[in-house]
Amino acid sequence: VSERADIRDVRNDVRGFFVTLRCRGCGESFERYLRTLAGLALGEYACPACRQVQRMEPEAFLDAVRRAFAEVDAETACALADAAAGIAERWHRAPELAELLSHRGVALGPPTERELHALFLRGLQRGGGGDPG
Amino acid sequence: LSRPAVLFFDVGDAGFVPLVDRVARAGLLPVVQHASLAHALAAAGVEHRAWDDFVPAERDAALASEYLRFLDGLADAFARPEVVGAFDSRLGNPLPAVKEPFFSLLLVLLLRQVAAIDQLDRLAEQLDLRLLVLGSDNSHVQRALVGRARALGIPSLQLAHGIYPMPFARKAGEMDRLYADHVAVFGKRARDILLELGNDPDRVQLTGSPLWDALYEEAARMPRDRACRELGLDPARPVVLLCATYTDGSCVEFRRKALRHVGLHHAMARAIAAHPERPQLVVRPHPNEIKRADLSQDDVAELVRAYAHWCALRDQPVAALSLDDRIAAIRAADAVVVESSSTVIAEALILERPVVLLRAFDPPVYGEADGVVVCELDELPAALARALGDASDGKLARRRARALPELNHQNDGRATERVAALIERLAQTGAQPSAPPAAPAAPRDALRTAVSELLRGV
Repeated sequence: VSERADIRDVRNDVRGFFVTLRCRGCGESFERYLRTLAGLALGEYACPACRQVQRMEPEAFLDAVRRAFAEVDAETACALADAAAGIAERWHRAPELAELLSHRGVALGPPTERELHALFLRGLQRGGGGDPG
Repeated sequence: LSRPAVLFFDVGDAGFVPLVDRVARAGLLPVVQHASLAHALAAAGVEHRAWDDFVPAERDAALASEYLRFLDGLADAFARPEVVGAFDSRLGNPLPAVKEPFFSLLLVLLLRQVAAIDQLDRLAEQLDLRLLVLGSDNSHVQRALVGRARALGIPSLQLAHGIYPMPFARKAGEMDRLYADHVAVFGKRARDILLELGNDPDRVQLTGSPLWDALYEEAARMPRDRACRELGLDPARPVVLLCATYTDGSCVEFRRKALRHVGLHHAMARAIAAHPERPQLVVRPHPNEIKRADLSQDDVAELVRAYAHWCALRDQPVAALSLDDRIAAIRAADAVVVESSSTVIAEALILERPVVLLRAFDPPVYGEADGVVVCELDELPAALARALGDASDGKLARRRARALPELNHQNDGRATERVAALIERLAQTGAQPSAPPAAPAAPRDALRTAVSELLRGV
């Protein structure tokens, strides 16, 4: 028997979304990769502590997305994307990191840009420099 | 070191077997990294070597040593204000909010690159490696391999897996910026976008899509009645195929995208109800949606049950779910509704089916030349009715004649031959790798304005 999922938080990365769920049985919080089908958040998620199963519903996930991420207009969206991209492309070029971030002559920083962009975007969307919430 | 070798990395679709077979017949030795392609090649009797044969003997110890080097080095470097200051932006510094995931993700990204570079070196020591062929070139491992291959004087070729759209907002390291030395693109439309973004024309090769060749074969012209029966549908009633998509979290528009999936399902239900013949609705999820989640068969079955349950509770008229039967699903359909800019648009046109295009969040790659365009979900009933009429009044034939030659080069089902010839040329002539990629082109202001207007309506 599954209970409706109690979604406490949502985070994004380059693969998709991760949800933090709170078990309605024992109160344990745990994070899982969100499963979707045809774009709808679905699936069952077992609590790692008591194995009670929670059932994801698309509408509950959308409510959680609305809570976790403020709506932004197109201009703000572009500014956020620009800022996150700039950081992803810049941080690894610091002279102090040049030798550390290389292997057999290959610079290892530039290949990380796409994956880290999503992370910096999340940090900025949640009020860069502030409480991650 | 006798036969020149070609490494196929992240090329996994079994539809590439004819391509690898041609490469092998041309006297090159294919080395294959992706297990599903290796399995298909073995079944087809195509000689190849496995990428896993070249794992260095001391890999784990080497990685452990690098892990410690990164850990110590990062701890030292991030104690310096100038390193942390590189994360400043006019919207703030995101590092405090994402410090833990940043370092844990960074270490994983670095170690995966080190492992791949060492393995490539091992391969290059043992074989006469002439070319690196990639299924895409935007992941950290793919890019590390391109960088190391370039240093070794080995060129690289990316097989495009779609028509890369003009970006709505800047994404670091996105596909619109070529990383591999060459890319084999589907058609003129894809090439024009890459050139408009400032990529070097000599690196963008027009070939067509090898994975679409099978759609031109007689076997793919499955009669509609048979396709309907395979999906358990009534051939006497109209069929609408909805090709859905999913949302990843890498772009700034993900919030809007995530919210639209449910809305689209409800809009489809209204469109079906509004049509006098009540078409049967088939939903086809994006194939990568399940692949990227790395689910077991039981997990997929559970997800399908959950989807059916949700549809039943919300009066969603889904008659069938299409997971593996792409050609049957398209050939059964009288109209194909596509949720985003997707290769399935060209696939439907090749298979002679009209398309309804739901405007994507990125600037459009596809438009009125390809199908009926929908900007707002409440336009869907009228658009569906129009698309269902397209086949009968000759519009579809005109669209196909106009759109397909620029979507799939030559529109002849012979892209495999052209890609194989390109691979042979690059591998046999000792083509020199290109210079590292230049800075990305900035999106055009006019484009941004147009997209801003589009987003207001969503």
